[in-house]
Amino acid sequence: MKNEIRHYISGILIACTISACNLNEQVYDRLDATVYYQNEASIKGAVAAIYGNAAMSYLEYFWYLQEFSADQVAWRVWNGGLWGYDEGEKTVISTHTWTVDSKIIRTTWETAWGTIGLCNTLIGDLEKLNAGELGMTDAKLQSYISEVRTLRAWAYYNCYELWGGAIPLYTSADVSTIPGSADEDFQTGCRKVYDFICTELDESYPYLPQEDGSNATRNRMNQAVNRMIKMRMLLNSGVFTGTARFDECARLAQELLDGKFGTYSLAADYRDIYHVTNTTCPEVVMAFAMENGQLNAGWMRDMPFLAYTYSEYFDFSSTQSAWNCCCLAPSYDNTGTVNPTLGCSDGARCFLEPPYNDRLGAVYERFDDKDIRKGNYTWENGNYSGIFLRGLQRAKWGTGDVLKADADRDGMDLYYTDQVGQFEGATTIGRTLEPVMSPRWGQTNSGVRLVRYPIYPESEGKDFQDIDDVEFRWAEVYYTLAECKLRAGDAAGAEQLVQQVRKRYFASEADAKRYKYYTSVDMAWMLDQWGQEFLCEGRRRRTDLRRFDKFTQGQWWFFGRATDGNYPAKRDRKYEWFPLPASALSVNPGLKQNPNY
Amino acid sequence: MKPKFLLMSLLFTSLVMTAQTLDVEGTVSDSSGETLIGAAVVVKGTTVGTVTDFDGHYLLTGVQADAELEFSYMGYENQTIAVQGRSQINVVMADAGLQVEEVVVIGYGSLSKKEVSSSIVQIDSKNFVKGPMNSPMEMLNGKVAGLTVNSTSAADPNASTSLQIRGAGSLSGSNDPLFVIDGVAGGDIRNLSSQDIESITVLKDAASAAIYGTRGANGVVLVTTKKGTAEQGHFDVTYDSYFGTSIAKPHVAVLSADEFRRSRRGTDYGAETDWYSRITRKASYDINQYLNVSAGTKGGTYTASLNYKNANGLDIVSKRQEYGGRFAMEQKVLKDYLTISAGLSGRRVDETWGDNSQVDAALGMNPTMPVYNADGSYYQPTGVTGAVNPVTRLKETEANGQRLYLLANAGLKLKLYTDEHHNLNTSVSYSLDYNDLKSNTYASSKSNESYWGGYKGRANVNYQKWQTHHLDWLINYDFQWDEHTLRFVAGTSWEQSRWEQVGAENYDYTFDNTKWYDMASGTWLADGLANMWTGQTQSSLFGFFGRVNYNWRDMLFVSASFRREASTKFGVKSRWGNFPSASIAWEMTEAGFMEPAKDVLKSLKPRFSFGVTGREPSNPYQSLATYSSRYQYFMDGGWVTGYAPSSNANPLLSWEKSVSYNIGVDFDLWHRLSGSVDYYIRQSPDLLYSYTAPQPPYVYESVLVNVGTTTNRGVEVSLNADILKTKHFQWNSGINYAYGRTWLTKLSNEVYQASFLELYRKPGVGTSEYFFRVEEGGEIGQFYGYEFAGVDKDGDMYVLDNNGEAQPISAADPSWKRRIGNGAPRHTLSWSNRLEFYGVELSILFTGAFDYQIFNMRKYGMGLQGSGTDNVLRTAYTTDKAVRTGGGSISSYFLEDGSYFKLDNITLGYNWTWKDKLVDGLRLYVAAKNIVTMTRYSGNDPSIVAVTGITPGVDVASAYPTATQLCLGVTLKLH
Repeated sequence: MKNEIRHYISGILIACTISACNLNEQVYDRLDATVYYQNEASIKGAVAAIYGNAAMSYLEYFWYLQEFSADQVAWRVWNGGLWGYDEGEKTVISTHTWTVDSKIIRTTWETAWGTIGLCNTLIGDLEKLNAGELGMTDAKLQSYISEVRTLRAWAYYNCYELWGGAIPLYTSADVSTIPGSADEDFQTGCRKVYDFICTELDESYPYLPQEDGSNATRNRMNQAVNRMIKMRMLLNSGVFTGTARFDECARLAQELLDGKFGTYSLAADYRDIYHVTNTTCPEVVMAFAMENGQLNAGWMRDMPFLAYTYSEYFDFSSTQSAWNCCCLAPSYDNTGTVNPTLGCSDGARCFLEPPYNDRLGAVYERFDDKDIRKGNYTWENGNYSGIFLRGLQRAKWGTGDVLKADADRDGMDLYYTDQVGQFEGATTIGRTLEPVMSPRWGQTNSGVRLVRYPIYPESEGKDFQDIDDVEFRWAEVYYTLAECKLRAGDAAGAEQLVQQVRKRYFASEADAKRYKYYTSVDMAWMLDQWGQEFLCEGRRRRTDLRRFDKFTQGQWWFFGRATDGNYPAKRDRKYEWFPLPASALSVNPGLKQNPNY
Repeated sequence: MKPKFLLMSLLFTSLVMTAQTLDVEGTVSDSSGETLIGAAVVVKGTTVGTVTDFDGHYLLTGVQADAELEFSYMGYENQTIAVQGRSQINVVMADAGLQVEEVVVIGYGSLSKKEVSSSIVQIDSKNFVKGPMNSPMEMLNGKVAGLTVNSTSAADPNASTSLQIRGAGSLSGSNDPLFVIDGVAGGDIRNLSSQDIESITVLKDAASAAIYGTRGANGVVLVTTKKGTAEQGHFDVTYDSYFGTSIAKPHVAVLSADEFRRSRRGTDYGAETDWYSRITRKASYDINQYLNVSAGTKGGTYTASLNYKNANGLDIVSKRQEYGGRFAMEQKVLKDYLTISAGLSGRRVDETWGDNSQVDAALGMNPTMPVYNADGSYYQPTGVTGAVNPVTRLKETEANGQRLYLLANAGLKLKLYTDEHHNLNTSVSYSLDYNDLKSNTYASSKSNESYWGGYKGRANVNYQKWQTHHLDWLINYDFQWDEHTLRFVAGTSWEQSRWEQVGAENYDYTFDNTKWYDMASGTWLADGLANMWTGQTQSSLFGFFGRVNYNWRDMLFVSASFRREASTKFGVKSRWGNFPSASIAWEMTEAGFMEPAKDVLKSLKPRFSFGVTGREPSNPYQSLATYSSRYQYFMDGGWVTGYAPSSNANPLLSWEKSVSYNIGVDFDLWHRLSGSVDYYIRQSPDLLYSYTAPQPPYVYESVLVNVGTTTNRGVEVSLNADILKTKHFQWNSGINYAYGRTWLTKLSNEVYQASFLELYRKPGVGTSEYFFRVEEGGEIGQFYGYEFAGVDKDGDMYVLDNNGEAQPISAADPSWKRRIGNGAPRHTLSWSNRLEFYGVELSILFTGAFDYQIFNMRKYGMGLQGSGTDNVLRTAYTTDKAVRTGGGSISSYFLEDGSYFKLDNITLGYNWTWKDKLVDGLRLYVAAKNIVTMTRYSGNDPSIVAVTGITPGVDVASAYPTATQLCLGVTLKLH
């Protein structure tokens, strides 16, 4: 009896304890995945996250791989090879010496698949959802699915440009399968991925909106973007699959120009493309929406090029800090008489002239002297002019006090020279000057800097971080069609198309037709035009160099010349494609490394 | 006292009978020859007896010739000697040593010390290290072999102290031990006054910690607070306080303004500023006031205490004030069948935070820059180094925190059955552990960040609270029969923890005066640029546990425990974990064959233990698929908040385990030399590591999985000797030595393959180097970098390439990097001494750590002529002038032997005792901490360099002043 009572007591105590304990995890500051989709707003939220993820990935990591590895933009190390060296992680991209362990390649891979993974998750969910239950029409749901499929096709396209047929093709969010490369064979993989992307684009574009001039579609995937990605696929088909499709590409470009996929036109004033009002610019097909306090990639906006004193130059204040790490590929070597006051040399030789005769790199001098963009960035009458920073730098767009340099030229006048090298400085540290030096040795004043997007003076009350980041613009269709015509033997047609864009940079059409280093409208000329029009827009390696077989085979700047490293004039073709990162291979036995690595 | 003895002698002698008797006299002394006053001498079987006088002399008259005399004295073994007709019997009393039953606190109970079969060390309050402290744990410094007490900036009153038992085991989780305060697991020891602590018990091996299975993998620290006075009707008052001061040690020398000019390192701005002195002070204070009253009533004890602490730091800003109160009671009611206990302790803390990084920044500042411009405004440097005026930073950015710690508990204990063999009772207890922190920051319109950021002032407020509810139900059953003693404990425990946060930030104010009190008045709110955030997480633990202790003839001790527990942080199917343990010990001196050695060997107890303990991740929701807000995007005319999966969920997430074995022996010789030796192996499989996830199919690049294994091995030796033990002079000396190493044994499974871990990214701009690379099979703490190979005539550093050739570091290839050292000390040693003579007590503590390297980050950052900072150490132009630059890379040049041996603490005290009605005792003491350090390391005091965790030995150039801390303390007991 006594024992029974004790058992009762024990039983009651156990029951109390267990009921007090709820072993299911209670979520508060996040949403349980099973209750996420509640209405159209939740779908919109999921789409918004993908755009944000994609923007951050493309604006930073893809830009590194596509521009540093090419001939126009370099990651520069200064202060005796110390500052910005970053364990060589970015320098190896510029010098074509990356390996499977390169951290930049790894992060690019990770952020890229983040975008694809988010697309896969959302598409998988959307296909299971009932539009009616979410208070939507089936057409609206279909439109979201198509938008995300196009986003995913584009995300795949960006990976494809870097890693070719080695990437996996996976459209599910199921983590119980770990998909290997598209195919055991790299080339077969290339064709499979090519077909996959094209099919995805072709199937989804009819459900996307067309731009009708109301500017409603310029921040999202629309029909024209979809077709322009297809156009890029066709233009580069030879590089991707070994089969050129220039004719088909030309037809699609013409359809685009005919307005079949939306109404666009070239901006008469190129600055309209880059202003904070650029979503009303008819040339902008798609731009990532940016706003300080919302989605903000301000740390990448011009900042890699600018020095710490930039806010004095632009006469404004900002919380973004400049990196002082990037410069344009220099136009001059380091011969001649060293001028220690400015940190440059007088009488240096231009890489476009003998004995070099380059047609790549040498960005500043490839721009014609009469090009209205070729000048230091200044602000007058409520608008800017010039997109470069070169020569002696003074505050307030060259009108104020001389700005001072730092680090290896600490306290000296800041003079950007169109050269890269270790000139005499206040404290000489690092290597001594050589005729051609690699970006590992660029004193703090080395190289011309680029201001692709305007930085508004404080008085304007506009924030440069609010400018939308242009990813697709109408001029690309003109250039694509021009190249197709040129390849088809129609040089006049090609030039005429290029001139329609180019004339906006010159006072007269005659000036626009001066091509100082190019005697005829040929492939070298075309490549030069691509480079000038889309300078630093994140596509030089792919759109230009590889299709013209210059990426590893073309010569510019330090390749074959600098003594501080083994940089052959022509690189190994294995660097045409990037390697899959070792970290990805280690957790996915099905991945087949790009056969050259 | 003299009259008393005489009176007693008189009394005894008057009772002596005559006839066939003789007078016996003699001297009673101890083994050192000191005579004993007041030793009792009694004729066996009678009430006849006496006590020794001041000379240890006794005289018994009329003793029968065949009688036996019994000699006894507190603390000594009793002796019985036959008179055998002798009239002179001198006796040497043997020291009873540790005969007083020492009780050791263990998880959910206590044991007599002799019954302990696992590796447990208990330190009582009288052995605590004295002196100013930031955490009561500093009182254990050097007292426990294998326990590392690391305080990186002891002179900063807000700095925390880290603890580690037997090396680091976890890769991504915490390596801090579990604190159990009066039975409440997970409490915060900073809620306690150091004076309230009665004892601290460190459970080092898994067998002792396994009863706390799920959180015991890093060891367990049991803190027992003082209870009310036990004597019924007594009322005691204790006043225990100290005043301390920290006197800064000389700081590292940088170039003076004049030297800087002559070195032509940089621009001469014309001023002379000793930046370091501008933001530090020479001495700081630390006041600690404590008052306790405790009482014993019929069947109950009550205690209450108040504590006030006030300290400032050696920088010009840091301050800390604490107000603590504590009440605890225990009362037996219903004819002692029911015991009610309750406790409440609370502490309010006001912290004013400086910015310790500014101390380093100050050293690197150009000494020719002024602090203020001619117009009185702050000078704002515009250098590329990113240097900001440290005076502005400290004076114009106000940051503080207000904390509240609360620990409330209530319990009921019911006697269910008691007789001479059985004792069964059950208890239920509930406790609430609550902490909160409101942190406020205001950077004024004159601050550096306002200057650079183009706004006028920034206000930030963040409020966080943590609360944990505990509910425990225990059943205790003791059984005693003949030579068998069994103790059972079984119970269940439920715990729920919740964290909440709310915060806001706004910018650009018209007035600095309103600070964070009127946040909304900043203009950024209207511009949509202000920030606001909240968060809340919750997790629960639910477990059952039980333990049995068996004691056979005080010779064989066996203990076994088991805990089964679930945590909501894990996947539905992998939530429960089992944590068994077993231990056995054999007191060999109780065995018959040891009888001949008994004079020498008072105790010899080999023991062996085995146990499994666990560890859970710090963050919840990692096994669950959830959505969180992520980015915003402009859609259909407005900004839309994005939502995406919060992380890659791992539904199989489960416990980290630690399987450990401990083999040890406790011994005691002559009751004069005692000690223990332990050898342990701890294997920690299923460690959680944020692994590279295969993408696709995973969305994000990492996933938390149970993959890695680490192994710790070590030897610990503790020795404690009464070197001198006489009536007026005693010298007790103790040595604690530990040897320990940790390996990363495994980092891969079938799916997740990694060959090495990269840990601790080097701070600084434009860098992606890691200090540590630990390969599978390698040792935790391995530094990874280039091997220094000299310099050329221009001062360019050379390093070894893979062919053993010296190459300039500027051309170095990362593939040349190698293991260049290890930051975890292999040997630690402490030597404590306690001397007593005529009421004067002197404690001297030495501590040391040996055989490890420290990466001298300050030398790396500002110790060479080519360093990136404006100013550099003077040694850049003297002892290190041959090397111009370190190439911006981690190399063995910056690694130095970190071994040190230091005189850590001296405490001198004097006790007065009165058998007075009012005053019970008075103790005065002076203590000095951190006195002299012997080391070859050229940077900071090596003992402040963090050597706990998995990234040990990086001296991250915290130049926060080190100090010798002096303190004057008083303890006054009244009753």
